[in-house]
Amino acid sequence: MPTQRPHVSPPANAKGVPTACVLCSHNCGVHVDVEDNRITAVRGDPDNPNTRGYTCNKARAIPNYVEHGQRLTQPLRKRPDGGFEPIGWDQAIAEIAERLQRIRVEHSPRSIALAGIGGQGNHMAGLGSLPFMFSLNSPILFNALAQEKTQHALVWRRLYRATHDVYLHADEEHSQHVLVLGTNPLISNRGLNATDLFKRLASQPDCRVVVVDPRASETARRADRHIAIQPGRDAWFLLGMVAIILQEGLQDDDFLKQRVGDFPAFRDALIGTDARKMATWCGVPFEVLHEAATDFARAPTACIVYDLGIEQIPHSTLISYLINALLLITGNMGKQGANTFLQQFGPRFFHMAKQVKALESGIEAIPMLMPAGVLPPNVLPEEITSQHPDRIRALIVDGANPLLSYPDTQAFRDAFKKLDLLVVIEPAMSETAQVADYVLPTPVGYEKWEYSMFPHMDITPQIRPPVVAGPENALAEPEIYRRLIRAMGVMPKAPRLLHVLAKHARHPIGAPVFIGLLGLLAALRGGGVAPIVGRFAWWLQDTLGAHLPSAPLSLFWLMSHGYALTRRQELNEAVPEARHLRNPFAAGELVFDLLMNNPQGVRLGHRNFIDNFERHCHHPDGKARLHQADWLADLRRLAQTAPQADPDYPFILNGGLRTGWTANTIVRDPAWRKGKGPHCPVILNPQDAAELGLADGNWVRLDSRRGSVEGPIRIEAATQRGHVHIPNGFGVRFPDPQTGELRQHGININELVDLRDRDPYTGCPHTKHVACRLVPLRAEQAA
Amino acid sequence: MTFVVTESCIQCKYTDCVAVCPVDCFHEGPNFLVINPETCVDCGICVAECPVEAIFADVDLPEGQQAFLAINAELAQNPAWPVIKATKPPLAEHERWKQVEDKRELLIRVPG
Repeated sequence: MPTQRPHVSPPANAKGVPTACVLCSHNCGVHVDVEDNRITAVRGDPDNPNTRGYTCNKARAIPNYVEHGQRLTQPLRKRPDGGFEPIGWDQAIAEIAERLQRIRVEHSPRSIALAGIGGQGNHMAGLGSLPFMFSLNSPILFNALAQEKTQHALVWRRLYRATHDVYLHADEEHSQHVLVLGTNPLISNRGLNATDLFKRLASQPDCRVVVVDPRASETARRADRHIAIQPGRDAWFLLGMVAIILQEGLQDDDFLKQRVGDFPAFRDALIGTDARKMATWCGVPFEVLHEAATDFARAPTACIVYDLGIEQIPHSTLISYLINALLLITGNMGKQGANTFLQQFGPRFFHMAKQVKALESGIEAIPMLMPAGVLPPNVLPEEITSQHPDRIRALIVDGANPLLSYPDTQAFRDAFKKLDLLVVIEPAMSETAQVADYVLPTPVGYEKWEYSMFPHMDITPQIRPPVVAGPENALAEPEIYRRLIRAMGVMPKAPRLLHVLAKHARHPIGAPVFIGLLGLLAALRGGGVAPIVGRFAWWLQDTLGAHLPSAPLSLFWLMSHGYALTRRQELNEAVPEARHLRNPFAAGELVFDLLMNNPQGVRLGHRNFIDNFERHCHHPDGKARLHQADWLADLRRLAQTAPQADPDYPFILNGGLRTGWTANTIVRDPAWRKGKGPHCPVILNPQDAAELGLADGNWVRLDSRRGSVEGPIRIEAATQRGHVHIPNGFGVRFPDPQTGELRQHGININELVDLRDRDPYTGCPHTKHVACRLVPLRAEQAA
Repeated sequence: MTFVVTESCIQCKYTDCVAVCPVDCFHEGPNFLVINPETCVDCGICVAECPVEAIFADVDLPEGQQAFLAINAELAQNPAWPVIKATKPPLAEHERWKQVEDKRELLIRVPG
């Protein structure tokens, strides 16, 4: 019987309650109004220290995320006839635990895999799922970061021996030259307060904004220069830029001498690149490429803004490498107006070298923004269907919807049939929950204590209390994992001594005693590093956690002490009250108090422009390793290889254009999208449409080598010939409000993506570069 | 950045745009609507809604319509132009006026 913890229930009626939007990684601070336990209004929160009142339009969809017809209220078990039957929590936990334990013992711990971890703003689940997997000694974790961004972490690991808790971000605000790659911030709202920022940049005479985009995007049209590159050719473009800078000797030799150990070898590898050929192959006049390179190199400060458009296309790892190379050779790293490393709130960490490899591909897990390596969704199906004895037999899906959001829906459908056990932990009857053996209901983000671990410009963490009460029978994820690990017999109860010490842990003397004993006792039981860490995390939640409104908050208590101990200078600089505290554990308590008492977020540190490079480059000599033999060999090959087209599939699909109606598939109820639509069109160039005999609104079938979808077209002059866009965030199957029948809303792009079409280093898919063809449908053929 | 309601709206005032605006940035006059440039979040959703294509991004204003950038900013601040949050029927003569291009002298700034 757990100790009674203080129960905090959100009021059923309140105005202006601070929380944050969870629909994208910017987590803009919002105020919500609550009436009869329902969120009725959403506005920007001017008191949020990070976003200061800014939101985009999509935050208005939050009520539809919380309240809709597919919310789950009971644990469910799949019946032999394919339907679901409700069961109690105790029975669900007992059955799942028994099956997991059998798989773990008869096969291997790594036969149990976890996919998900938290979505765009609800990461507290990770404080249950990671200790769970650590305790089982299974490193098989899948996360959406590994289908978008882990190539950056890989590049930073190699070049800088970086830790997992950083992100290399442009300081556009102070820059004189902003190169924008693969993103349309004015619509996607990528970056802090994006539309306001670009407004300011456009009006600054000494700031030049250059946008590289196949489409004449909203951001491109307001920039100083728009380079209409051919789709998917960014690797050749960046290689051309680097080559020109090297050939004309425009690199920053002083910076290179100080910060880069092996520049001459890097230069020798690439200086012979034919930049004119690179220009031809990316569909850009040579003068434009030349100007892009020389202007970037000559600007007193320059930065690179980048996102999905160059992350889900061919050569994504090489592109990330070239971005870092451009910044390093021009000295635009670690200072104002350039790119700097942002860091998460938390203690200083060490570089985790050893990572697990996928069985079939050998692709290595990459730690990014969490202290555990993650594998790419692209390899999940083959790790299930593998013949290897240690293959995945049980999968827990938590905070993810693979049948909608992971590439190659058919491959996932087929692979899931081969699993011995599929458990889906979800607030809603998602597409993936539909095929699960067990579905366990959780509250949504606004119904429980939550946190987003994404780094901000400054250190401005925000622990968010619940703002509405969720379904009575839904359990927050950490509690589900706690019950599972207990039921599996893997986690003994915490020693009584720790319960006693926990009572005094919120004290500058009691804290180190408690942490020390906790560490010692957890380590004494052995089992390996991961099980010890798992045990530590569970005992912390069971002992100190029992005295907090929610048990996983105890991990934030620990992180607060870790921050105060290892980053005291940052803390002192931002929080005057911390300065006079002699005992570091008093400072840690202060940090935790500030977190718990500031639901709108609190500033605990400033962005570092002083020793940013030194702090985050962990190679022993403090220098970056720019020369990477395998990537340079690839680039030299790329420099000799013209981009290939697929003659049977002559169009290139950008799978996932961001629009004003793109929120997140956690918003399942489409009713928030108003107006005449169609909201999910197939967007086409006017000449291409004319050649196909298509008018606005006509239906078309789009075939890739992997699948087919149908939809109405929209003609847009800003779209390049040969390029096609389909908006992101559609394909959800939601009950018709009249008939109750499940209806699909818009196109599921992942039906078209072939998961074998991926980056060789990271497994990242090419969702934004799918070869396809278009077939007009006669009026009677349209759905 | 902002979006701008231009000449086509005058004497028609369909208000389809109002239904989709997430930040209630439209202000209503007797025979015209304007967008408040301070509240507009540049989502662009309203553009497709207008039956007479009256709305443009400020950088996309067509030839001859640039004056409406200032007109929207000015009238949004006018106390006689309240925020409009819901669609209503268009003006009685909208069918006749939607073909007419040159009608800016008909813009009524003050009611009554």
